[in-house]
Amino acid sequence: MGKSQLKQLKERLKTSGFTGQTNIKKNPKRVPAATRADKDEMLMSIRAEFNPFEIKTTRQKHGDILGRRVQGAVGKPGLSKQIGEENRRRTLKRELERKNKVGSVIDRRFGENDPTMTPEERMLERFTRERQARSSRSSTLFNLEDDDMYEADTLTHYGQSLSLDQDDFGANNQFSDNDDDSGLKRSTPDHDYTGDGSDIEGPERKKSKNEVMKEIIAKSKMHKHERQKAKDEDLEEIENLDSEVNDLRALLFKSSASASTQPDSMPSDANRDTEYDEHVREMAFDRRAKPSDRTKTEEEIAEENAKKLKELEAQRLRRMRGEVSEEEDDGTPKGRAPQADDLGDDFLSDDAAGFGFGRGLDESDSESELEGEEIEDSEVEESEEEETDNVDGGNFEPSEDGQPLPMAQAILKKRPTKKSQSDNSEPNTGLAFTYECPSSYQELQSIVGEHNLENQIVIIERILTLHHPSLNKDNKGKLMKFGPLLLEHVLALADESTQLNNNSFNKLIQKIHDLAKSYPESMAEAFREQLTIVRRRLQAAIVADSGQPTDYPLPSDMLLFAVIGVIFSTSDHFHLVVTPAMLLMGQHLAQFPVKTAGDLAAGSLLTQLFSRYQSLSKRYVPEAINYINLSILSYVKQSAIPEGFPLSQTVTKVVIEGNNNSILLRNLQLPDIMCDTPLTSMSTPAEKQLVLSILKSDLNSLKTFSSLWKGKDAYKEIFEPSLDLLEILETELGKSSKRAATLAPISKTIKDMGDLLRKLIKMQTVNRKPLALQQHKPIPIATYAPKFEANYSVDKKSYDPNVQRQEISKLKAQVKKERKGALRELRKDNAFIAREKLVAKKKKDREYHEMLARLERSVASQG
Amino acid sequence: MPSVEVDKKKRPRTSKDVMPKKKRITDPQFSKISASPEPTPESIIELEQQISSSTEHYNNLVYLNEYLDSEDLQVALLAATSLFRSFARMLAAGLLNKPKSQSAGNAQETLTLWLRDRYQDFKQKLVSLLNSENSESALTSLTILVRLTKEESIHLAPTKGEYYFAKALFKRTLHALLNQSDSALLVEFVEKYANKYDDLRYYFFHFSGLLANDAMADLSESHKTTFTTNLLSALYAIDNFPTEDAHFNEFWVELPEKNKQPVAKLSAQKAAFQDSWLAVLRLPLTVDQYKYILQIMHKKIVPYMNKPQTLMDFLTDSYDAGGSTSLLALNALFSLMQMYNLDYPNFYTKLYALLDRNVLHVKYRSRFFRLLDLFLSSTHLPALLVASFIKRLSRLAISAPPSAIVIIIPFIYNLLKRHNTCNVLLQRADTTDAEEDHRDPFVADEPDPMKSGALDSSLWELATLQSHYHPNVATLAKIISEPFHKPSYNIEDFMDHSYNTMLDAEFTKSIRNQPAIEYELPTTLFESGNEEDQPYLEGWSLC
Repeated sequence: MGKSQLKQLKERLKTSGFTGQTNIKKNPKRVPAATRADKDEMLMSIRAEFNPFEIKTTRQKHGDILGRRVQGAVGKPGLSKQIGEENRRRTLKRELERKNKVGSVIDRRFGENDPTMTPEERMLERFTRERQARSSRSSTLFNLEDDDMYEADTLTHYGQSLSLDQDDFGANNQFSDNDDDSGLKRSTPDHDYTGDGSDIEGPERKKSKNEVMKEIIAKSKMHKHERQKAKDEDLEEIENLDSEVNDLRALLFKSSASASTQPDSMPSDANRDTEYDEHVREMAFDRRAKPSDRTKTEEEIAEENAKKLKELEAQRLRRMRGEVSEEEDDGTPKGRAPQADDLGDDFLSDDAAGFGFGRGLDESDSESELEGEEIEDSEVEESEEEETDNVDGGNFEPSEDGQPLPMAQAILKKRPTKKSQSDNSEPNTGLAFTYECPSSYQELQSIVGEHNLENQIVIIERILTLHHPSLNKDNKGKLMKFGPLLLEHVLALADESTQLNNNSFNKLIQKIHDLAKSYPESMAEAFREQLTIVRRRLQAAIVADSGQPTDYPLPSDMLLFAVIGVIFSTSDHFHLVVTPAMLLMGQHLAQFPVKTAGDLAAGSLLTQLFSRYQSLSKRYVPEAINYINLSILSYVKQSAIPEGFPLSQTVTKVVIEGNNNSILLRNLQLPDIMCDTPLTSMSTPAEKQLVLSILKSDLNSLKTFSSLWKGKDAYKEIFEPSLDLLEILETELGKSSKRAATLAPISKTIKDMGDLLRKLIKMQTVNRKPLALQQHKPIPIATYAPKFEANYSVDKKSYDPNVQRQEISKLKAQVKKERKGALRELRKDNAFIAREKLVAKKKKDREYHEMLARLERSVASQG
Repeated sequence: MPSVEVDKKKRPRTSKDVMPKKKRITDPQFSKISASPEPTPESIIELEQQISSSTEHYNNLVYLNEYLDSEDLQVALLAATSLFRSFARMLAAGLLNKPKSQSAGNAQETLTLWLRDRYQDFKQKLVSLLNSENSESALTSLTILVRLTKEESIHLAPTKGEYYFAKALFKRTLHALLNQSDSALLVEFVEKYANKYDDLRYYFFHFSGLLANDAMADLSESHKTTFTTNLLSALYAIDNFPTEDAHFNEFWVELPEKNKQPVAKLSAQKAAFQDSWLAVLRLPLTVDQYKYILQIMHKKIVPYMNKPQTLMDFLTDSYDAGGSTSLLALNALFSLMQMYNLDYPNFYTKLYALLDRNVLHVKYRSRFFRLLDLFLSSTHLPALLVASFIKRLSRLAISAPPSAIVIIIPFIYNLLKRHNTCNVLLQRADTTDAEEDHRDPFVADEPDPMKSGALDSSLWELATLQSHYHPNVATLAKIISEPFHKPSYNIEDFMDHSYNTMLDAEFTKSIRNQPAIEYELPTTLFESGNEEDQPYLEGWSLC
């Protein structure tokens, strides 16, 4: 339709016959219906059709799609508003006018509102009806079931007929006309909104709202009345009783008064009342007595303990598996799983960092390889050189001249002098009963330094008791500081072998354990600090030139690792103290060059500690097994070395000769690690004994590991090198009797261990199955095709496959829509009512003013 | 200023030193020969001025030459500079040009010959001064020698206008420098001159190569060692080798415009460079020198050689040597293979052999793994081969330090991702329980990776590492039992770890949640002697 509005209008007018030539001759049979009124109507419709202001269109987002008709896209707001207004005027206004008016005259005269009847017809019909009614009444005046009876004559109650058939009729009862007049008869909200369909009427209701409300009101009134009545009765009853109570009381007191010998001693009424009230109040506020916990039987206590232990064990297992709960989480952010189409994720994040590894070497280092490798150089290679040098020279003169370490050294020198003064003092003599809680190591030294170990324990116990956190709120802080000092003190004690005593030592560790339980954070921090000190010295020792004496390892270092093992939960997947400690031990075992018997003993102790650390979690420690292999290797004479373990450093062979049949193996001792006899010159029986005992200890550790790691898939690969080495030793023992005599004290252990490993390896290999680690369902190949909805439709609101859920959401949407519609209608109703009221008020005012004016005028004219 | 006392009497010290007696028209005034017994700076300047003023005073040259040996450093240095200036002037004047005829009849020629002799003496003294204890005088003599080289090259050209370089003098200087006990002066020379001037660099390479060949033949062992050390430190110091002809723009001796000299050609420079290096490599090298050369070879030597193929023998020998030498040779060998199409037979077999028990423990670990990653990156490698590498790596991982395990696991992951056929190493579905033989089909000591039988094995070692004591390593090892979603791991991120970096990471972690405490203490930590107690450390007592 490319024509302009004007042209369209002209055309329309022409087709309707308003303009142009009206040739009557050509249209002789023109309908005379084209009266003036008809013409007006048609003109109105044309006018409406061509008035663009009447039409409101909603712009569609996606334009016109294949002639789809969107509901409500084109509307005539003016028209619909008008229709709504008319509807309201018809219904709401009526209601409004009838509000608060009880009676009304309803014109029920026959045919009064029927415009098709002429007055004559009307009168005639009325007349016949009246006659009929009168005639029938005479016969059926008392016939209750008569169908034709006149409405006025039926028996009613509250305006409802009592006749039997009415209930069955429901909606179509004969009063429905009446109801329709007063009830709201409006279109459903959505129809009203769009403006069309306003003439569609909803199903008729059973009762009008008005009526229902009336009924409810009546009912509630009745109930209220009944309640009132009941209450009145109750009151009356109570009054009656009250009136009687004095008589009753008189009777009661009379009897009691007669019974009591001293009626005068009774306190006055008022006095007694207050007293009584007081008691009552007291009792009201008194705490109710509760049954106390029953004393538990021994079984119950045991059970409780077992339960607690079980719980602790469960927690431990959880930690071991690394299942840390949310709040305990270590804070490493877990990114989403990597996807196949991840692009530059390698630029953004460090793959290694995702697993919690540190920064690695500096960027610059790794770029210029030459420099970067220098660092590792110091770690690995130098120790190698050291080793070789030592073998050549063999003149390793330790400890005497060059003992460096500042702290430990200072203590070593300072302590014995102090000790010697007080060594002979009796326990508990000269001890004060109160001690200040020391806040620095010096203070602790000054308090404790002069006493022997037993007294020290007493002092420490006293300090702990005196500063129990329940005594003073500051004590907690003091003890938190005291814990690390105590640890430092105990470690320092280990370095002086003079007065160590196993029992006292255990007691001290017990104290540290107690403190650690109470203040885990500060103690963990203290342990970590000690570890950093050890680390510094270990690293210095690793890179130190051979022949240069180092202050590592000290007994205190070994003790630190041991104490960590007993105090902290070593089975945890990650532990703030244990993990770095294990790394340090690993570094020692892997890189610390073994030159002296002491070094060998230290390594042996560390491997055993590793086996203790892993006794529950059974984790694999490559360094430990490597160390044991190297250690066994150092006892092997043969130069051929079996494959299977790293050998980056040359191993210093233990040189022991002669017949050692008489040597008895002994327990190793902590001070043994300070033994600085080079391995190449083991000559005295004591040294031989030490070296052989170390081998025994190593073999024991190997045994522990072999049972710990029984379930490991690579059992064979782990232990085969050790077995090879042991077999070499065995053949050596078998071949030369001299060698057999040299290693006599441990030859049985070697043989047993060899047999055990042979057996276990065979067993573990037979049971081993190929891996099946990738049993998850295959990874789907990522698709890049866009997701299509097979039968897409704009009108479809959801593609929910769940029918039930879809139904529910449909209903919900409908409810929402209805609710909005109803709200809108109510709002419009209110506006309408307000408007009408205003009009009414204005009208009333105007009338009033007019009346006044009229009166004034009349008065003025009279005056 | 005390005037120089002129001794009228002739003081012939050595007949050779003093000018021939024959009278010439232009003879210098012999009567004027003078020498101050105690040379002072002023007198030296006076002497120099006399020389320049007239030929009569040429005998001053003799005295100045003598002063060079003076104990007084200042005097010696001053004498050297004075002599240099005098000779430079004479060179410019053409007084030192070779006489045309050998007949000594001409007085002028006699003078020239005499002057040339003095000049030779001077040079001789300068060269010996290079070895002087005093670094200042050595440095001064070096400077004068190099500048004399320039003067000679300009003025002593046999034919005028032709390009000439005073090779003899340069070679003498270089010879002296190379045979010094200490390489400091040589490095100074390289940094100051050879790095700066293209022709000096060229001749440095040229003559160092020649001298090295001579040294190989002549010198005693100990001298060879110092010679090698000196030459190597000089070669290391060369740092701006040109890569295009256009880069040649700085010359010590000016070049003639018209025809191009070999000095200005890249190929000639490269050839000289190559000769020099090849000569060095023929010299006896210490292990450290050897390793260092191998380390820098692919970056600093191979690209600048004319025919790097000549290095092939050296490299294959190194590669076959085994141990860390092989690892180091791999880099240079690879660059030869890559750029010059070198064919190395049984390369992968050899590479497989490099994965020995210590490869995870040496300092060149990450360098090696970078290359290994490169060599195994081809998807066209046979699965048998790749499986062997994977299996051997995992075998090594079982005894490796955490920092090495950290490299191996993502490395194997990438290999498995690249070679799907190797996934059987992790997942073998077709085995039935009835199967009798559960022995590992992998033969660890089989040298040929195609025959090791690894493809029929499983990576039990990695499965074991899932329970490694270090939590992060254990977590990392878990990736082999999870779905392989990630396309590949960036190996570079895992390369440079060590105990130290891992400990650093651990110690920088802050305490965020309470560390768990063991709830029960063992009865005793050490052996108590009491049978009933179960000590924490069995077999250890406190004292």
